[in-house]
Amino acid sequence: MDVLVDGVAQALSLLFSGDQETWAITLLTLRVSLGATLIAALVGAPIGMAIALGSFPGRRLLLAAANTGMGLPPVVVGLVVTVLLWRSGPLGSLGLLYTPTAMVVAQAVIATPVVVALVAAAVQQVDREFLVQMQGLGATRLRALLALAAEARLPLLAAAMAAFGAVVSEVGAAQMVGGNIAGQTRVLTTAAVLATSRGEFGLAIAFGLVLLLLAFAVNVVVTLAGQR
Amino acid sequence: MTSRIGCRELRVSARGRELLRVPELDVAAGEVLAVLGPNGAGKSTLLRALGHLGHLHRTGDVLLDGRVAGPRELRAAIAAVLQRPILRRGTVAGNAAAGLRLRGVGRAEARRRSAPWLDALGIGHLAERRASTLSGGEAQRVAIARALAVAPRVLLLDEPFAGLDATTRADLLADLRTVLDGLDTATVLVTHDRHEAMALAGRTALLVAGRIRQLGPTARVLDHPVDLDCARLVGFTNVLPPAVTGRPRLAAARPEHCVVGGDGDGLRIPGTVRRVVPLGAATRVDVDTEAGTLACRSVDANGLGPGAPVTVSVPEAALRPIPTNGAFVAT
Amino acid sequence: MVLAVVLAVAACGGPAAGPAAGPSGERTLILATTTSTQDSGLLDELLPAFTEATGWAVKPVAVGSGQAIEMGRRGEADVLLVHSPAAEEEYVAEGTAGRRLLVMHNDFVLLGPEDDPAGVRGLPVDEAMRRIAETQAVFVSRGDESGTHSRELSLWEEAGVTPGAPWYQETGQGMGATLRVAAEKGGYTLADRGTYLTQSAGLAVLVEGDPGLLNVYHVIEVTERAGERVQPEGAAAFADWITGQDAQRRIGEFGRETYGQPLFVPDAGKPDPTAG
Repeated sequence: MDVLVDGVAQALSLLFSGDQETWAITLLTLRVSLGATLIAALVGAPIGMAIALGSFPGRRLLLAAANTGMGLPPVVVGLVVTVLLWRSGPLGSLGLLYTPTAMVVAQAVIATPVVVALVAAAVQQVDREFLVQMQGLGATRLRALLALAAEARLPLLAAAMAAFGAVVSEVGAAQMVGGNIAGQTRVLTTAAVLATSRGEFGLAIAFGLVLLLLAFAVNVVVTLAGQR
Repeated sequence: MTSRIGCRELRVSARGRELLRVPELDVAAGEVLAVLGPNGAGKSTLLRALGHLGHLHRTGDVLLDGRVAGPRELRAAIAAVLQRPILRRGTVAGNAAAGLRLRGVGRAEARRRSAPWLDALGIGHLAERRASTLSGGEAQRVAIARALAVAPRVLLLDEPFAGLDATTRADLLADLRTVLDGLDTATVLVTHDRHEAMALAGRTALLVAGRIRQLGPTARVLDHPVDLDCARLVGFTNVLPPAVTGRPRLAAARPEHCVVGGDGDGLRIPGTVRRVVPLGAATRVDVDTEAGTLACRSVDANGLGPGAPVTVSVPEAALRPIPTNGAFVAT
Repeated sequence: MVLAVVLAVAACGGPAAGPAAGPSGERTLILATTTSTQDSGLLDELLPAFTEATGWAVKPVAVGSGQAIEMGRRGEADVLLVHSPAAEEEYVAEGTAGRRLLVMHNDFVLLGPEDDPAGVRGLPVDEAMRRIAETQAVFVSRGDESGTHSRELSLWEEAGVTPGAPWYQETGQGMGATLRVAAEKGGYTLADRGTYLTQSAGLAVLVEGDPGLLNVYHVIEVTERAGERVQPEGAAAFADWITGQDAQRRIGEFGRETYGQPLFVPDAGKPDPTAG
């Protein structure tokens, strides 16, 4: 129990004393996970919309695949990305293994099915005839789709936040493709695991708390922006 | 007439089946055309095909002011109100301005131009209310105001009074009539209710199974159906074959004109009562006759019970002869 | 899809390129090493000095000795720092490795609960292992192909015992986690002294100093024979530096302040205790 109290104390002291290492780790966590969420949103949102609005063959299969993909173990994704990126792998020449870029890639793969499935659900909630009515008022296809997105903006934001939450808290992929290298690819989750393996429980919990605060801060910003 | 909107050889099909086929149709500026038909006849399809709305497999031409028009021109010229009022999140005023905003008009100007229409439809006092809190009738008024605010050259209304209670419907009908009277807009009103057609439309088209069977001035179309389907559509549901009437052609009459136990000129048809249904002001009596079961009116229901022998009298003026070939007749 | 994402991110160079990308032109080598060198904190002490001295940046990937050697085999790392002599010799015999140099040693210790239910305190290690097997006392193994695990397995072999369920339990995890499991279950385990000093978990040292408990670390260069992207100059730079005076001095000092004794004993240049 005192481990938890110690953890809280350490978290506060690390953050407010401006401990360089902690802030660097936190910043990297933010950049990697936000970057991954952004990519997942750019790739996944159109797919989700197409599933919700379209009627092409294999539509339901695609949705089922996305829903299944939400449960992809991050470790498995990390392993696959590692095999692709290591020196003897097909993309080895890029030299991306053990870099933050690789972590963004792996996390984007984890986040995309989340975005696809939740965007599809969000758009399906809007009245089926919405687009037709927008057309009936003179909107171009693009304007009609933007109106649809504005209409579903709350569940769409929820989709983005769910995707962010999924990747900022994962450790399997970040560890495998990043290597948890100090000052380069160490993020809050991998740092917490390392601290645990060294027996520094207070520090591990401190990292966990910083992670929670980070996720909370991001969510608050996004929620406020969405309510305007 | 100067046609504001029309179509030539318009055909719509889906999954290999032809849903709609209209060789020729025109609606003039300032005119209201009602399209009347049973469910599934293709009325909404016709509306959407005219407005190039939705994903329809469509061939043929739609004309604007006499010239063939592409999707972009149609989109600019038309405003539609669908069956269910689909409003966006936000206030009533915001929704009324939405049509203009979707066309690229700035927020302030859109508000300015749409505000008078809220008043015209009697909901100016609801301007700052959230659209989600409106009743069905109020929401529909907003949808109509939204459509009219863009000053469309063509207004497409798809059963706008469906789902409204009688009082609301009557009020909205009256308000809509008032609003449309002064406008230059060509209006196409889809409905399955002939009373709405009577109230709003100068001309009416009867649409059955994807084909226009009859087109003409509303009063005439509603009172002189040209075939059996049209007859049933406009309320002449009692069909009387030559064997019963002794006349050369098939005839039809409205139930309210078939009186049990009445007298006077015209037909007299013997039959037995099947059932008696008191309906408040009048009593409906279903009578089994050689012409099938006829729905009739009874002045005095005393002594009538199932199985009682009665005579149904139909005045001459109430009979309509029906040409049976079902060909399109423009009257 | 991974390809598209990779190309997109690589193309925009990216805000996600990382805060410590380093000055352009800096060379980076991959060092595959064991969790004990990382957990003890030795790497944190040595690597910055190495980078300053040679200009080579290092990406240390801390996995078990088994996995590290496998990475060497595939050319996924440039240099190895491991402590699993049997597996190392096998790897070197395959012919793709470069030099294998002795770096340092510490020792393993047999740990257990203070009250020592199997009565192994002070015994020679093979006798102790036999005693544990006979009494079926709980023994917690790392079970992860690490250097510690390999040593434990060879000790069982020398004792003539085949350990099995239910008293023999494998965690598949690192040393710290395994120590905690052993402490929870009141069982015995084998650990390197370095980790024990940093996390005793409440266990006591019951057998130590036996020659079979020597824990020797070697640095092994990977060559281009293992993979075309290997950087042999980086491997040579690291191997030379870590067996050089400065590194050896640092190794000898490491941990003295915090624990009262150094965690490792520098051995570069001495006769290899595991040879023969």
